[in-house]
Amino acid sequence: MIRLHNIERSYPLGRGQMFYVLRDIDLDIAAGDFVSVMGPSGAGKSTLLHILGMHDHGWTGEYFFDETAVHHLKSKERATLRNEQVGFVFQQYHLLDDLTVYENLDIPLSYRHYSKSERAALVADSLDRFQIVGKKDLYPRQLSGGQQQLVGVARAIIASPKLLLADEPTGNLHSSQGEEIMELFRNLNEEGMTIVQVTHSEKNASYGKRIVQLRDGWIL
Amino acid sequence: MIGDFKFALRMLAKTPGFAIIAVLTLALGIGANSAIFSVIDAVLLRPLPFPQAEQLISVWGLVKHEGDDLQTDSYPNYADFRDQSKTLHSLTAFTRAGAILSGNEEARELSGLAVTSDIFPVLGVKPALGRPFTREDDNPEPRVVVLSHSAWKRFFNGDPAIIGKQITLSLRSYTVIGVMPASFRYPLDGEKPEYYMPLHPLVKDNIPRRDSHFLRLVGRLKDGVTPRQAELDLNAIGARLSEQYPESNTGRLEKVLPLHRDIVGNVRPALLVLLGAVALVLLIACANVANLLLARATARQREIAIRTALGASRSRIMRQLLAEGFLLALIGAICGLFGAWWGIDLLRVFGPQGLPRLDNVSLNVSVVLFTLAVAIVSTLFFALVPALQVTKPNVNESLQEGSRGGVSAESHRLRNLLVISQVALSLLLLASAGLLIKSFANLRATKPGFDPSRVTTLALVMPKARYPDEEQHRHFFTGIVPKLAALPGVESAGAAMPLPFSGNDSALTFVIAGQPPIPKGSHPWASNLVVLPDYFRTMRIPLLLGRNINERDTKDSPPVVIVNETFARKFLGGSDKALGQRVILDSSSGEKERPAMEVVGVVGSSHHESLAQEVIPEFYMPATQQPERRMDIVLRTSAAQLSGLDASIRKIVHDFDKDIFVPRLRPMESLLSASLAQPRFNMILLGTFAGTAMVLAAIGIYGVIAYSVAQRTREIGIRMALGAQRGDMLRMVLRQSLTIVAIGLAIGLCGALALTRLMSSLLYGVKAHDFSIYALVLFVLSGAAVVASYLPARRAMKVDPMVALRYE
Repeated sequence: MIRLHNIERSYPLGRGQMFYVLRDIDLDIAAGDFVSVMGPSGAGKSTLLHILGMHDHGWTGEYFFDETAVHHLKSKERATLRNEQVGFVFQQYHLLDDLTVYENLDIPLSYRHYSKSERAALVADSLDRFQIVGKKDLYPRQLSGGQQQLVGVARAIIASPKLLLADEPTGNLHSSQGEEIMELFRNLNEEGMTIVQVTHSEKNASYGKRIVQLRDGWIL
Repeated sequence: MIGDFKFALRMLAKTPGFAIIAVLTLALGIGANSAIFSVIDAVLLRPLPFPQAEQLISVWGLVKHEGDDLQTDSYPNYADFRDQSKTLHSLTAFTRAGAILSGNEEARELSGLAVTSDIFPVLGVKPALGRPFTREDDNPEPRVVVLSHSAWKRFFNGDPAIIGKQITLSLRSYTVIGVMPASFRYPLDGEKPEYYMPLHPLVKDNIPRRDSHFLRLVGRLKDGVTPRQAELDLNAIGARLSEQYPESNTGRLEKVLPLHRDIVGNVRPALLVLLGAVALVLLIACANVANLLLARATARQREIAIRTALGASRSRIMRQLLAEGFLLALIGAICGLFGAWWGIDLLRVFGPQGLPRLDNVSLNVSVVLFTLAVAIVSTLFFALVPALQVTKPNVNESLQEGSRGGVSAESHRLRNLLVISQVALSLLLLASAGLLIKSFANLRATKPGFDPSRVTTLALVMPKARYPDEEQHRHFFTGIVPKLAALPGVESAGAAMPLPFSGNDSALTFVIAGQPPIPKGSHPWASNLVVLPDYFRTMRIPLLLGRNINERDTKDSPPVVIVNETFARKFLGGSDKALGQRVILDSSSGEKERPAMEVVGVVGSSHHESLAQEVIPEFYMPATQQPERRMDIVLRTSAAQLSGLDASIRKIVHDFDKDIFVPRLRPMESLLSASLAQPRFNMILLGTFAGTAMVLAAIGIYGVIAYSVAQRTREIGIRMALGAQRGDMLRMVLRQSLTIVAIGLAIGLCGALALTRLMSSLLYGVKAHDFSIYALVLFVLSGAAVVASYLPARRAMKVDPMVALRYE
């Protein structure tokens, strides 16, 4: 499903020097895989995730997504592909403070031009599935961290992406809440969703099918 | 308190960008107020420069069947009012005059005032040198004159022995009996008189005529008498005169107005509209500064929270914030005063010369005090609300919020409210300016009824001393005009008295032969001109029916008259019935009945005094049959600026008589343009203020949206991470901005619809609710709002979700 070849990401340091965040990354991820990316801080984990999520455009190399050569796509085409195929879960949840749970779930659909009735149906399904119907009118600040991340995950998958990217999804949660989220990820993966997560936790990494270790921008 | 100001100064110095923008914005608003106030102070507020000026009144005639126009009065009426009134201390009458000063160096044209001897006692002034007029001077002889101070200085080098000397005015010798003080000027509107002379020698033929209304009356009330009491008193006298002299006084009433109101009454609405406009500009400026302060205060919330946590009371912090605000206002006011100083100079040069007391406009103590008061009030407007907002007693929340760089919803609402008010006020100003601009455009587009392009005018006056007879006048003008027409580059030449837009007018009462009789006091009147044959061709006034005046219309041929279309429609049953009808002018008492004049032609109607006034009935009499001593020559030339024309004209006139004064040539277009000076002045000023308001409002919108985008960077990043496209973000920011703007526009529209009615008297050919103006203003203001919002919206489009989220 995903093939990265010779991906490099660097930032200029001045005087012609470059700082490399990622070096010569070759990575294949099959459909239905659950990959945990690990490594110390500054290893390039999040950068890799943002490249996979097509947020980052400043890399070189080859990136194939379902045989689509992402490296040849223009910015707008990448955004369309991302909207169709990728969902994101963030460590800080990144729910919109001024929107209710319902509205937060609705947002990705509104950017994908679903009709109003389709959106209502999908949001209702999602609320049901994640058992948060009773919280649909609450604002993020009225939820616990675990509940907020639950909404974050629900929001990430509401538009049925093929690939779910998660950046330290349990980093801000206590252990029992973290386990709940990881169980959720496992279930999603078992239902066929491809997942790539960045994590520092060995335990969380063990939920995945394989681990990719990064250090100083290199895959070990 | 001094500590607060020192700290305020330090805080402003720390953020010079903010300080400069705030000070300039306030300087703009305060300076505009100071400049306009200086005009209001000089024109409307300052008492007239005469002792007990509140006792001075104007007396005007009002003829029931002739509408609301205030009319001048006759000498016999004046004399009766003066002698019989129980409420007036004194009463004077005067009319404008002009003369050619000769004898010293080059001859000069002087503006003067022909007065009765009471003028100086009425005004409460005495000559600085010599004596005032006495009742003995109210006679055709001896001829005496009082000079203005400037004429004495300019033309006689301030000769201290001028009293008793003879000077030559229009070829007659006058004895100088006085020189007025430098500070004296009367009348206060129009051209400044250089000399004052008794009425009698100048207009002795009109003195006994009760139907010859040419005098303005100004009086001084007795102590404790009100203008209303004087009006009743004069009308009681008027009623007796009406019974005694029904032919001239029927239906005539007297209207008494305080002199100050009489002089400035016409410009009062325009000045008040301008004052309202600058007040709105200041409000908009205050809203901008308040917005800046709110943004700044939000950034300082943490500092304020710490101060509060350390024990500072709310009032203590308020005082500090208000001190900062007042410092800004004070510096803004000082800069504004410099701006006003410059603006006043511009006003004096470019302001309409018809604006009474314009030369009194100055930056005096009242203006400085007003500016200081404006600075204090402005401080309350722009600094109080932000200060109240950020000193709300909620330390914990502020500390938390401050640490996140967040902004409270209330502060956000407040900023939106400020922008809404700015947009609403700008719309009001733009709509007002738009109406004035359209009004002015209508005036400009109004056809005067003649073609002023390439028409040059000059007034030639035959000195009465040398040319007392009508025959001489006839001979001079009929002889000289064909010579002028033969000059190279001159296509045709004519003459008229009085010329349209020359500031002179003349009206006569008449009857139409064969129509049912009307009591003499109720005879209709119409504007009349005396013209030479080629006047219509030169002015390109179309002949609609009949024939032009020609050389066969002599003093011995049957009298003829040409009427304009309006006259024909109003008095003769229409143009098609006009030819052959006979107009009989009213004769004065004692004078034999005037011969009937046959209507031989109908010409197109033209404006006479102002493009804003409706065309009025006019009739034209041949100068060969009704000779005039003064006529305005009109020349249509092949080019607008014909070199050597003035010298050629001077030679032709001086070949006839070297003592006839040849004034500067004036293009007809400049006469028309001068008549538009006041509306042009209103339009330019209000347009400038409205433009300023729109720019300030656009800056305000930009500030609020830019600040909001900065605050929402994280949110925008999340939205983009969730799939929002750049276009979505652009739309989101524009939607936010345009929602605020739309509310402002709706409120402004309601306000403008309600308030622009107040300026109806300044409008011409456009209704206060003109749809096209409102549509245009909405379009322009929305466009400005879109541009102001687009810049921050672009920033929103460029938010990199990776960076925004990582930053978080």
